[in-house]
Amino acid sequence: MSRQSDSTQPNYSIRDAMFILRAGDTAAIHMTKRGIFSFYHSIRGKEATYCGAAFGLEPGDWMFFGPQVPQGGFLMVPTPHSLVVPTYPSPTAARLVHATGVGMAIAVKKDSRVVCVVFGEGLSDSADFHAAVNFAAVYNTPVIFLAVVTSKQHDELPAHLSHTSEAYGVPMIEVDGSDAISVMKVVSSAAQEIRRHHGPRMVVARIDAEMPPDLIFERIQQATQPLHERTRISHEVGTASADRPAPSREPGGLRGLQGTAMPADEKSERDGHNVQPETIEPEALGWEWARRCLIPTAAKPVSAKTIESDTQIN
Amino acid sequence: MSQMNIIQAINDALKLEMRRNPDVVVLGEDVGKFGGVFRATAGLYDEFGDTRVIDTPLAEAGIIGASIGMAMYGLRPVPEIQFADFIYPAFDQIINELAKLRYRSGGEWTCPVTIRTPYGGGIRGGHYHSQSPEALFAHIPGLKVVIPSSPYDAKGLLLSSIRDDDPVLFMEPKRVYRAARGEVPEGEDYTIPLSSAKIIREGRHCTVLSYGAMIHTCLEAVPLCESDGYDVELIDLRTLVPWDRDTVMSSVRKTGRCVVVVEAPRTASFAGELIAEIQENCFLSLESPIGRVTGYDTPFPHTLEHLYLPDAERIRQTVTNTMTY
Repeated sequence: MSRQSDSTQPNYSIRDAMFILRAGDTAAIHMTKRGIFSFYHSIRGKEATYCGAAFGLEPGDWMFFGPQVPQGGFLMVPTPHSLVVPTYPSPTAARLVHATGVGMAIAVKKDSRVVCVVFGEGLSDSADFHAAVNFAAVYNTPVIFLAVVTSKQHDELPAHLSHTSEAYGVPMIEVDGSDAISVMKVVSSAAQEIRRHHGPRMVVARIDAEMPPDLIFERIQQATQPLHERTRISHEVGTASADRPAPSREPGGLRGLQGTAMPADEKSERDGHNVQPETIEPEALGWEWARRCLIPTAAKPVSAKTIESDTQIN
Repeated sequence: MSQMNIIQAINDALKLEMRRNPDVVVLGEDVGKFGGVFRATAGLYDEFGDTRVIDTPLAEAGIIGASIGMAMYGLRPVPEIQFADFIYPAFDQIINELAKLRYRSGGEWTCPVTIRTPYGGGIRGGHYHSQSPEALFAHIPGLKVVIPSSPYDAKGLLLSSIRDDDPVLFMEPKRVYRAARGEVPEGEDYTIPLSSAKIIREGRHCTVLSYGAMIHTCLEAVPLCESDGYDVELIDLRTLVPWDRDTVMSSVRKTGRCVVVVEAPRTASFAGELIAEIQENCFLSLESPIGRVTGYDTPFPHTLEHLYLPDAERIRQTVTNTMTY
């Protein structure tokens, strides 16, 4: 009944996963421009958040992941292990309530799984968002609400979310959404807490909206270089801070924490995720890579063969 | 067999199915400790506990959205919307999510959710407790709509609905929740197939087609029609989507005349759909235009509901008009 991500796929590093996701996203954008897809919600620039979250979960956990191609394609986040990823994601806040429902069912079944639902912060104004968080809090369900915030007002909107979280009694954690390792650690930590104590968590992943997506991706590349070749990327865990330094606009520039020394244990952990330091450009990945995250699902599936012959994207 | 009303029959069906299948859960406003405002879920909380009989916040979109998620995980939720008039906040979840999930996922996912909700007027509840919105949902592909009229049917149809792999809107005629009584096999497992109409009374002159609480009004009209010399064939549709075309068309071809009775407002009611289908398929058999007895195109009136709802006299008059056309 449920779509499990391909358990036979290679054991990706986060860096690989982000490249694959970028390749799939690029392909979907091209197909939209060529009229093969009528529209597609790009996730360009958010690769670190999506992949970091997927890597922070454990086998059997669920992840509601947004991008959908209406003609029947689904952009699957590459995962390191077998996650359950619903392949029909609602583009609206409705999926937040579905995630809560899955969490309620997990509680009914007395399983130890966790659900993570990724959504744009704009959905937090909707009634479904409030229903989802309210139900999740009332029933202590194992749900991680992962809000991607791209606001220019870095303190204002997370404060809105933090007030909402506090009102519903849902602990909130904030993280740099451009830092895949930080997202992974925060999601993993939240999932462990949930497994121990149950109850939902809110993770706010902030991404600088004014930074061009390609610069963000360069930053991702830098963030996944071996540690001795780069400085520390932002790794903030906690609530919004009013006195946070202004963000840097330079490639690789990081909000106020450049050059900070990294603790040895964190260095070791990050190095462990950088198993393939050689450069891989999305354009060089080709369709074999893109196909891994473009999964046909609905009545008119898009086959890789069709895409290849029609578009010649490589 | 024991005598039950519709509430007792529904309660019996829920108990039976929850005992049979541990994946069946009930959720809704006041369905737990309180046992439901109409007592349809009385006793379930004590027997099955708060993990399977779940009192929810007052948020219909949350109730249906959470039910969808639970169904995705493998449960068979039976959410209750306390009154059909309260179902509109959940419209998006029902129409865009619940009814479309199988299609959108290319058949990979199904959504076995049975939404129970009392509908209809006659309890002096005003317009927040009296509407008949079945036509709105009959319009939605991917959603089945079931309306029983008797305790026996309520139990058998509810069991079939819960066991169906697709979403079902199970609308209960609250005006006859307790007034309609009949023999029901208590604790016994039986099902009535969805999409099967029931000929309640055979007749030669005119087919009267209805469902839900209006069946009982039609039964009141039958002797009046008889006294006028008209032998009425009364059919209970039971399932609106997908409805039993064969039974209906056979009856209309036999009698050559038809009257449809619903209590919803006249414009765009389900009666219009039935009439259109019948005239398309039985045109050469019809002796007269198909008659229609409905509510009026007004908000449901509180003080005038006795005038708003179709009664036996209006049905009798419409049958007479059809017979004497």
